[in-house]
Amino acid sequence: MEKNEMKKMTYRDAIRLGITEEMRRDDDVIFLGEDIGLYGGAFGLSEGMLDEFGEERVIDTPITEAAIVGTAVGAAATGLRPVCEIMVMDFVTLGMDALVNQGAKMHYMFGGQAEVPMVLRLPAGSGTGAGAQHSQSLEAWLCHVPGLKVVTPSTPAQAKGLIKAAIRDNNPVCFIEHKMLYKTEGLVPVDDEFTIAIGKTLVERCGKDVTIVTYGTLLSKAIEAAEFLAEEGIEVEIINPVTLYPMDMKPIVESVIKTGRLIVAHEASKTGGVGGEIVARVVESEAFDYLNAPILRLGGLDVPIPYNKELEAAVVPQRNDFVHGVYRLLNRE
Amino acid sequence: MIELSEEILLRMYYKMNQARFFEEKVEDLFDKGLIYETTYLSKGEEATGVVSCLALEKGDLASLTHRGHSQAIGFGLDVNMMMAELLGKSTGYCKGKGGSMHIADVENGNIGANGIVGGGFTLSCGAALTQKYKKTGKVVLCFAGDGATNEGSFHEALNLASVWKLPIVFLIENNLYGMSTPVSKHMNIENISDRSASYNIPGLTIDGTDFLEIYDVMTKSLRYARAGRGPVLVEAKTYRYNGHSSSDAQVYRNKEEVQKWQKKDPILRFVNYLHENRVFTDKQIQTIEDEAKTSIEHAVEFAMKSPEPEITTVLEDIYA
Amino acid sequence: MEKEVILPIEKSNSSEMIAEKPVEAEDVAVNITVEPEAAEKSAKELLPNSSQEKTQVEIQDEIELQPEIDPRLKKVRATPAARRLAREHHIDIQTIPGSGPNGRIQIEDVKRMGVILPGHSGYSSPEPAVIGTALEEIIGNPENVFLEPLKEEIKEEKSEKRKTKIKKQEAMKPEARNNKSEMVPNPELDFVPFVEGEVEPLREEIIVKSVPLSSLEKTTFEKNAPEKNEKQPENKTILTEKRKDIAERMVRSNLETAVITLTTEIDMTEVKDLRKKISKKIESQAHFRCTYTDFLLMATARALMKQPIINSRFENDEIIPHAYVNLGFAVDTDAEMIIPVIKNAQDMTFVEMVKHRGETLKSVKNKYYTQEDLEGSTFTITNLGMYGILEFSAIINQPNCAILSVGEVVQRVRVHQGEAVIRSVMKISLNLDRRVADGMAGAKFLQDVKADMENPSLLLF
Repeated sequence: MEKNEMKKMTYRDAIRLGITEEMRRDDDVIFLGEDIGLYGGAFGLSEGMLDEFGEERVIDTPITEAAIVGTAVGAAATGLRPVCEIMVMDFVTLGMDALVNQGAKMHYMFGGQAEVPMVLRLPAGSGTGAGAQHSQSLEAWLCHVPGLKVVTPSTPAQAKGLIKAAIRDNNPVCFIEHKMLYKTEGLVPVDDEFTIAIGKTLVERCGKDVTIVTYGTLLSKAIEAAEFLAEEGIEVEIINPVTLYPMDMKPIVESVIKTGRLIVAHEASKTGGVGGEIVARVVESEAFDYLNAPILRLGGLDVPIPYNKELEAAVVPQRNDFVHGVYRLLNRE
Repeated sequence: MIELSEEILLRMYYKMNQARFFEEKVEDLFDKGLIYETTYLSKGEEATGVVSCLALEKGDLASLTHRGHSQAIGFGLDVNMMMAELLGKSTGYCKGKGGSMHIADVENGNIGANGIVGGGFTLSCGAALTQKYKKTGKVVLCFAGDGATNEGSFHEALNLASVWKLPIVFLIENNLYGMSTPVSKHMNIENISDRSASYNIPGLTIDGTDFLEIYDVMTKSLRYARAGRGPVLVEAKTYRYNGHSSSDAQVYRNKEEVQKWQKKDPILRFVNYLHENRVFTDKQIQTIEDEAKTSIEHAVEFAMKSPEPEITTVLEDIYA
Repeated sequence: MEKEVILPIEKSNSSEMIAEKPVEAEDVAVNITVEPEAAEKSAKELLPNSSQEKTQVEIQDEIELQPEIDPRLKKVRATPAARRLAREHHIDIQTIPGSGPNGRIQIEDVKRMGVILPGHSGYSSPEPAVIGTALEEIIGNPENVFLEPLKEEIKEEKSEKRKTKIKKQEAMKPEARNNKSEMVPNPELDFVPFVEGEVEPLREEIIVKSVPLSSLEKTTFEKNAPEKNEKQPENKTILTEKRKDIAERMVRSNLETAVITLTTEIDMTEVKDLRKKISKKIESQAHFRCTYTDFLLMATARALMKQPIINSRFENDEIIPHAYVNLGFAVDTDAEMIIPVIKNAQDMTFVEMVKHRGETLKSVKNKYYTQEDLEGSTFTITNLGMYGILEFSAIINQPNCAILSVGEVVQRVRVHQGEAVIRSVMKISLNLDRRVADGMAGAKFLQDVKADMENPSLLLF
């Protein structure tokens, strides 16, 4: 197999492939979650894994998020590398004590003694009509906990690379997947040593007029908007932070210095979201003196996600929001 | 009748005294203003802490509580480094970053004292899962208080441990009060061990001041868990002489109750036992006590002389 | 011998004693229990009047330092990038017009300023800079930029880029003006400052690019505008509405008319000479000094009567020629441009024209013109010659069907009677609405104007 050989696969399959490759590579990697064994996972992600690895390594848990996360932390502290799946990100609330008070802090609190190499997979995001308690994006909470790492892939290739990097990382990593991206397809390197470094921001598209920083489901919308605007001669630069915490700000700052205009967008609700942090950091950096327009944030409305399809779509930014945002920054509105 | 070798008795008595002196010293240092966090003293609970740990084999793990000094000493932690940690020095177990509530020695199996009440349950399950997965044959001893058994994590952990047959022994030190609330006010049952029935695991209630009973029951429970038959829930009825923390005015109980329990003081009972069974002479007993005392004094000296951590260490060890 | 005195600070005697009688001062010093700094202080306090004034001034300053007006009015909206660029190029951010929302200055605005450096071209004046003519009151106005005091002010400011302008300023020494006031057309009254006998520097080196009328107006007065705003903040809002109105009208004119531009060059040497000869006489009759504008107004009025199609208006698919000529001529007051109208110019004699023109401008300057004064024009003249514009293309002032744009009078080498000589020339451009008239009509009109201007004696009757 060539090093650079690529294969087209879905985002979901890419994650499965990533976990599978790591489990083959390292016996200490175990996978726990609700209904991941025989059922194949609530989103079909772990299909076939039980057959390959057996019950000892692909463990079906009771509905007990606090214990799942706590067990993962305890196992990680004593030598295993658990990957645990919380069915939807909304349920992370049930496991917050083990994650925040134990897992995130053990290494620091114990003066460097314990390592907690666990991965917590959190399918997030709205668009499936699952309602307010199954559709949230709570990455902002996790970005506020020192000791955690928070990553979120936006394409299948990033999904595979990041899950592998997360499993190999010796820290608790929150791996935020987007449910609506599961079916998206893309080219994924087949190489089983392919990883994407945690803590490295990626430039998805180059441009000179406006910088858009975005991730998750909004990345494809931003790219669509950029292509639309390119026809009018407006070149948009799109940057995907990939790792939300700790975030690599350097490419973002450099981009803002180049373009002088910034839009930060995410599906999660605007208030208290990661976008505010990015904006603050840009303003604190040397990019401040190069800003030629106010910074614009696009975020979800500050509402719980409604059930009705139209209402649900209205909560999150869409392609047109990006286009209008760019026009506003260019004083064309 | 349980036969305990001299060696074990010696270690038991030595460590229990160490624990007692340690707590007294900590109280003293706190009054002098040298320890700035609040302290959770386990005076009166030495038996449960020390003796149960001495039933462990080498390589077994333990998860301690916030009132865990005697548990830690029983588990075998170095009193010097413990004292240094309490004083926030860089030579402490956690390099001064953890304090009393987070003393840990992960390498040797102590996965940490926990500041969250009930925080250790699920962590112990995880540790036990590792032992089961790797077939190490080791057991995890999870300490907890009576109040912790009302937390959701207790029930989730017990359920998980019971269904997965994890090698874990839950030792509940029931000192009759959850901070200021007596057990009658915070649960509907008399004995916490009754809860084991919900999970179909063995549950026992023992006298937490009788070192023999503790040792006996713990040895059996550990053997049970080690055999892979699942978790055990042991409840030890005991008492703490001090308040919940150093700032506790103890308005919720009266002096008579404290005195009643002090008559059942575990160290006192131990001394009586030693006398009755002529295990050691008075002189030997005295030596043991003195040595225990000196070790604590050395510990204080060591801790006081130790350097404070550098300011730059505040940013260290965020990530592994 | 002085008696022992313990001087209280308030007594006025002490200052004299300390200042004027040193010997006694020493003796006194021994006795005085006041500390030396306090003594100095007391002396200062007791100096007659000046300290009082000073403190009053200080109090004034303090009051000014604590304004109770909205702090935003003194601040300028500018993006960080614009501020940085302005800083780097030593441009005062306050002088830059902003093209962003709410007048926000953006980096593009600063970049534009690097081309034209405003405010110190020597043409700015707090008085309405009038097309071709300034009012007689301007003479002797200490704020007038042509007088020396301001010249120094200008020099003090960032002078590196303005050397050419300063050279020009020096060329117009007041002594020269005063001595030859008869011979030299008074600069304030003219389109353009003009010095007899000296070759004017070429304008190109000062003005680099032609810019749209609107932004030029802003740049010239931007320096003054902030000052005005500080004193009369409420004016700002009024102007904006007017600006909006102007903007709408400009756009509508552009959209509705089909414009062609015709340009011709007029040899102004004759006009110059004639003016010199008659100015005194005209002044005594009209009580206003005559200027080139008056000649132009006369020539235009006549030419319009000869080509009435240029003097019509286009309304509702009808072309309505007028039997009269009402000449609107664009006047620049501080930060707005208005077009007062001289009515029935076709019947006026030269003296009458001078008078009307003078009075109209006076009323504009003193702001007692009425709406009627702005209505009813059939033709409009606009002049940017005093800013050094050689020629330009203005927007038709609807419902007129044409507008005449007048450029600067400059000295050029021309062929005159077979020889190369230096002549004063001026370009005028006619923007004509093609819906109403065709190019030939416009050309004929310009021909008539040119002929009259080049034989100006005929205009005097």
